[in-house]
Amino acid sequence: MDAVVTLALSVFTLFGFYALLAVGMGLIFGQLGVVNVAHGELVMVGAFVMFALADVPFLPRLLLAVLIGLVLGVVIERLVLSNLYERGFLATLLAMWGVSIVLREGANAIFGSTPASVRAPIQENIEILGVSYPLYRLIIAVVALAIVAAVLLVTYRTKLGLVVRATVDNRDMASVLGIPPRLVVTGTFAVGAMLAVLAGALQSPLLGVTPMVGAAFLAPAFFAVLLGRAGSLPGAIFGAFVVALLSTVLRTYLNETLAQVVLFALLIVLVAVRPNGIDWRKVQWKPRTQPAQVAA
Amino acid sequence: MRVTSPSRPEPRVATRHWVALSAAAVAIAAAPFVLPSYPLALLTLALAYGLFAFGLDLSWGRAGVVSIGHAAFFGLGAYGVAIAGQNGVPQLLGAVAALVLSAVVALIVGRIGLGPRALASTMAVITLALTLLAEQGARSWLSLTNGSNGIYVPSPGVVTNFYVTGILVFLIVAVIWVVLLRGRFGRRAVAVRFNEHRTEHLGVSPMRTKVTAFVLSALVATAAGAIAAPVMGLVSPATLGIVMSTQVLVWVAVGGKGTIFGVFLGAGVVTIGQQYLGDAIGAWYLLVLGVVFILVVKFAPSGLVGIASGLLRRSVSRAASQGAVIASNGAPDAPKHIPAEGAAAVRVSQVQKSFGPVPIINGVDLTIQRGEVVCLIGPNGAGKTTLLNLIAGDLAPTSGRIEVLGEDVTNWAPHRRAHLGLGRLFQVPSLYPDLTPAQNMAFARAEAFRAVELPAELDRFSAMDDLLASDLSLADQRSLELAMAIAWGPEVVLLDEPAAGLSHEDSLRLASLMRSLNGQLGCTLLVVEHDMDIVRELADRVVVLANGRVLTVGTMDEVVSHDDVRTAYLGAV
Amino acid sequence: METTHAARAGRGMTALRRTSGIIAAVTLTTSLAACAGGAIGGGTEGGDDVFKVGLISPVTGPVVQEATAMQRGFELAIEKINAEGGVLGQPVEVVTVDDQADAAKSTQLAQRLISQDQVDYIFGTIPGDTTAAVAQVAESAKVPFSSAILGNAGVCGQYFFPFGEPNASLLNGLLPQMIADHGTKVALVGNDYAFPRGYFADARTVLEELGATVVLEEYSPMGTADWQPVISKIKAAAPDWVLTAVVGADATALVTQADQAGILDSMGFTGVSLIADFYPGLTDRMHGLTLVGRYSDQLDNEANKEFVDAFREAYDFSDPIPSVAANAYEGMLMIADAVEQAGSTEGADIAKALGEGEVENGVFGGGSFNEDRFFMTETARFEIREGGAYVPVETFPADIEGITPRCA
Repeated sequence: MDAVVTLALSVFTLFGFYALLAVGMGLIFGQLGVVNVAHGELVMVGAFVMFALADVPFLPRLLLAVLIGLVLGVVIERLVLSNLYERGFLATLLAMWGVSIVLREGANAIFGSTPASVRAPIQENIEILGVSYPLYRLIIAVVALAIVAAVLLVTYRTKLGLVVRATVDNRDMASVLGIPPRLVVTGTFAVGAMLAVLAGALQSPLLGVTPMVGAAFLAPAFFAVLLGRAGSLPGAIFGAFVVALLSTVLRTYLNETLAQVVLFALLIVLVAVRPNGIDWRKVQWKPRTQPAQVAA
Repeated sequence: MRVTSPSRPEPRVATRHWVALSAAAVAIAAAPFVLPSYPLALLTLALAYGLFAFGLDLSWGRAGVVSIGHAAFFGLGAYGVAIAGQNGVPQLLGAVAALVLSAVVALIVGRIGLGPRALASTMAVITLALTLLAEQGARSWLSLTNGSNGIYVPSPGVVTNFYVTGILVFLIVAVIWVVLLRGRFGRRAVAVRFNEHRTEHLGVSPMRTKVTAFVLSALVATAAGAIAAPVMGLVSPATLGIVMSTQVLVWVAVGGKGTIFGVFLGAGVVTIGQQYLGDAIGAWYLLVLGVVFILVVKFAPSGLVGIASGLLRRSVSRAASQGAVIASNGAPDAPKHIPAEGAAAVRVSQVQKSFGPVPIINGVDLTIQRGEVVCLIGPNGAGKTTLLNLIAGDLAPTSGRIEVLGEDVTNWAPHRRAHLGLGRLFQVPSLYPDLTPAQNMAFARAEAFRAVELPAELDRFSAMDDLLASDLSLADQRSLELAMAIAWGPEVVLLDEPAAGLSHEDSLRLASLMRSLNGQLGCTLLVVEHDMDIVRELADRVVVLANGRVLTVGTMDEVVSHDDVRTAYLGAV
Repeated sequence: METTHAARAGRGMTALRRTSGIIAAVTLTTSLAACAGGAIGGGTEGGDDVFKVGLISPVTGPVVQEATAMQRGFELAIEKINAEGGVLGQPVEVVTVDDQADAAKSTQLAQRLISQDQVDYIFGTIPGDTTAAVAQVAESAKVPFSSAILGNAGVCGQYFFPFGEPNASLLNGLLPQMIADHGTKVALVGNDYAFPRGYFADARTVLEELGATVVLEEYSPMGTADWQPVISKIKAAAPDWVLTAVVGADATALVTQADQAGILDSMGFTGVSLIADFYPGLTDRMHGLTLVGRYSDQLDNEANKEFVDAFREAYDFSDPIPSVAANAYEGMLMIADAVEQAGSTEGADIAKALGEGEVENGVFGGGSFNEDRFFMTETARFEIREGGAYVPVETFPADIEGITPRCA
């Protein structure tokens, strides 16, 4: 019983973190068609912000991280990505790869490579169904999922979300409606980047913070986003759940090395069986693009 | 009646190629006499890495198939040699085993990642998972791979290493270039990359072309790994890993994809440059590398070679074909498929097609005999284009049966249907916009179903080699598409509003051209058309489609006088 | 005709472009050649008696931290040697290169150091695979090579002299004490690479002799950030204590998360994850824990005081000094002595002198290579105290019993 509760809690906490990563990456991928391979490095930036500003109380520090994430997102979008979209997803992928090197080496130059750590604001454990579990982990998972829910709500239930989705579907139409598409594009990327930085900030008290720390988060976020139906935000979140569940269950019941091998093999099989993405309902942002010539 | 293309066909190996090949051979032969041992060793490594990049480029640069985990194949080759050496088996045997394994894995990955249901991202996920899986496997399978410490591969010495590497790389690249890139594969890969859809309707399977490219690319990467093993000296899990996989993407992007010189230059500049840059500015060089990389991606999308060739004027056609030979005497004297005696050109029985709950085609029965010209008319939303798509194979019917030239093609892919002699034109002309009109024609002829003599009016494109098809006017693009489709030698042609956007005179000229094609070549035509003058000029029979059903069939006059047709067009008044 | 002309002109231009590309390549090749001769026919000058050391220091890439510490220790040693008159009457020359912890580069660089720079000795590199790569090259060229971090490198050779701590010296003092303090059920948690596997294999041998049982043995991939599944497994296995070989950022994450899960309070916890390198990220989480090792900046002897003062001053360094720095320092001093003893910079002579050499009053006290080419020194049990003071509380003689020698 204890084992089951611990497993459930572990899946839940990891899901919270991965969902926040996936929603940011999914936003950037679904809306801009950019595979953000610097997502892990943005997480790293968030963790370093929390480390560098250790004298500021925790909550204001989180806000600062959000702010820095937004600014960083705007800068990257404006300096690097703008004008690259038309050249297809590989051009932006390679550009973001360059950005990831710059962020990593920048952090290395500033902070060095000795693992740093961030003190958690809450040290207590909590008893849940007879299992003692770190309270901070649970809280950040809940916070992360709340943010994910908010992003979904804004995207699907508000005028702002409509504008964002409209811009993606038809930039000319959106500009006719009086929405500057550039602003929406930049804003979307900035929010996606900010979510990654925030995820890193929230997670920082659990990590050994080094410039390399981001590398571990790229693959799960990537798999989460691409396992879900392409371009679908709920799909990405569902993908995050699948990855968190598989990874935790495999690592709990198999030994660590075998778990990794089985995880990657399972992901290949999953994609082979359902190349169009696993999704529990048919929410789609963009219809699957038919070749233009076939359109009736 | 073999028809030769008017423009002089390009030889597989032109003079300039002989010059380049011999210069490369001389450079390889001379390098050890000129270079001290360390630069020579770096050059050896760069050559092996260059071959790896060349391998990736075969799929990415040529056929547009991206693999973000290509080091899995490279590492496989390196481990093949290392494991063989460690167990006293000849290294060659290890390399061959690795090549076989690599081909099998690539074939499976390609079939999944490029299959009919796959998305662009599928290949990315699978190849990423593959490289991670391979790296983890190499780390954990201690008895075979010696885990993270890797396997030592003895080196026969710097100079021997260099010559073995240089000769093998030279041979592999030269053979692949002459046999494949300058042959049918190169031509098809370019076509698939530029316009998958058009290529499919010219009878070439895009999936097969792409899977071939991917398997080939994996094989070359594996060979590169096998060659690199003694140069690297130690084969460790990183050889198969994600870092190596991204490295090779960088080499190709920096050098310039789609060019042999570019990929070797990219691998060389990054591998050798990194070392000297590292010596010069120390730990900062990675940061500089990142910035340089962003700048290259942003401002030099076709890499270093792109910058260089941008400075030099090249002929439009040479630049467009990117090293592939488009023309070929491909057309067979006899058609590739002889239909059974008495078979109808197209027979559609009880076909239904719904998108979700919405029925578009609602039980259509239609037979078109060989040699007929049939026009398909109907109000907007009647399902005309959908019906063409169903016949051509771009859509699968929800139920019913479709026959083309006597074969039940209901579940066939478009390229298989094309193999029966089924040609297709689209509402928006589907061409190779990045090739010249002459190259468009040459490709159609190279992949032709049968050889045909083209009317002069259409043949004018065959000599048009100094601009791109995308620079043509819409009317000319339309004619070019028709010219391609006819030059390809179809039995049956499906046309979707060929006269849309043309002036009245031009439309009538087009109609008479189509009639003459029908008369001279015996093509069966099924035409969707709005312009009633053209329909009158063209049609043997007219089929009226409304609300996904055949309303009536008959001559123009019969159809026009039909009450239901008026109602359908004008609405129930 | 127009088109034909254009095409012909274009062909000419393309040929020109290709030709110019080739010329550029040839020019590059020639310029790479610089003033030295080719690999074939290039003469090699005879060696004078300047002692020349090649340092391979992967200061970019994944092991920057260890590499930086090593390079600092090494450079301090060179300064000290040259300040005291050098070797064989001449200052020691150093050629420093960066292999980025990439084995392919290590191979190339080792070859370069030997054939182009004509070094008499190779020092450095960090990971196991690059060490193996360099060791093979050095062995075949009969150039002695030392690593500063791996005691059990899994490599054997006449010319390989590793200055790292042998696993045995880290375990022999530690395991009996932990069993006595906490109990006989042990969990082994490491990263998935060669060192943890070898370290735990040796630990198992000793543990079994001591009558303890291993209840859990896990190797997590490098870069693991979420340790919850491993922590759950530890809790489920309920060991009396945990022996770790998790390194780098993973060590910080593991210790942090284990602390949050209450493991540091409820059971014993020791091992490589507690070494001084990782103290800055963990600080008070480590206070009160103990481990066994060779070096701490708290070791009370003259040589160490001199080293620590020089190190802190030269690099403005206030954290605990990693032992790899001390290994590099002491190692290089010992090598210089051996060359002096041998009176020659020939590889075979240096190797012989090193094998027979002995350090007295070094930063670790005494030290020497045993028959199996382990560098043996006294070791100590350190208690980690406030401010990162690894205070020696008990010392053990150089002892390697019970563990199989590395080269069978």
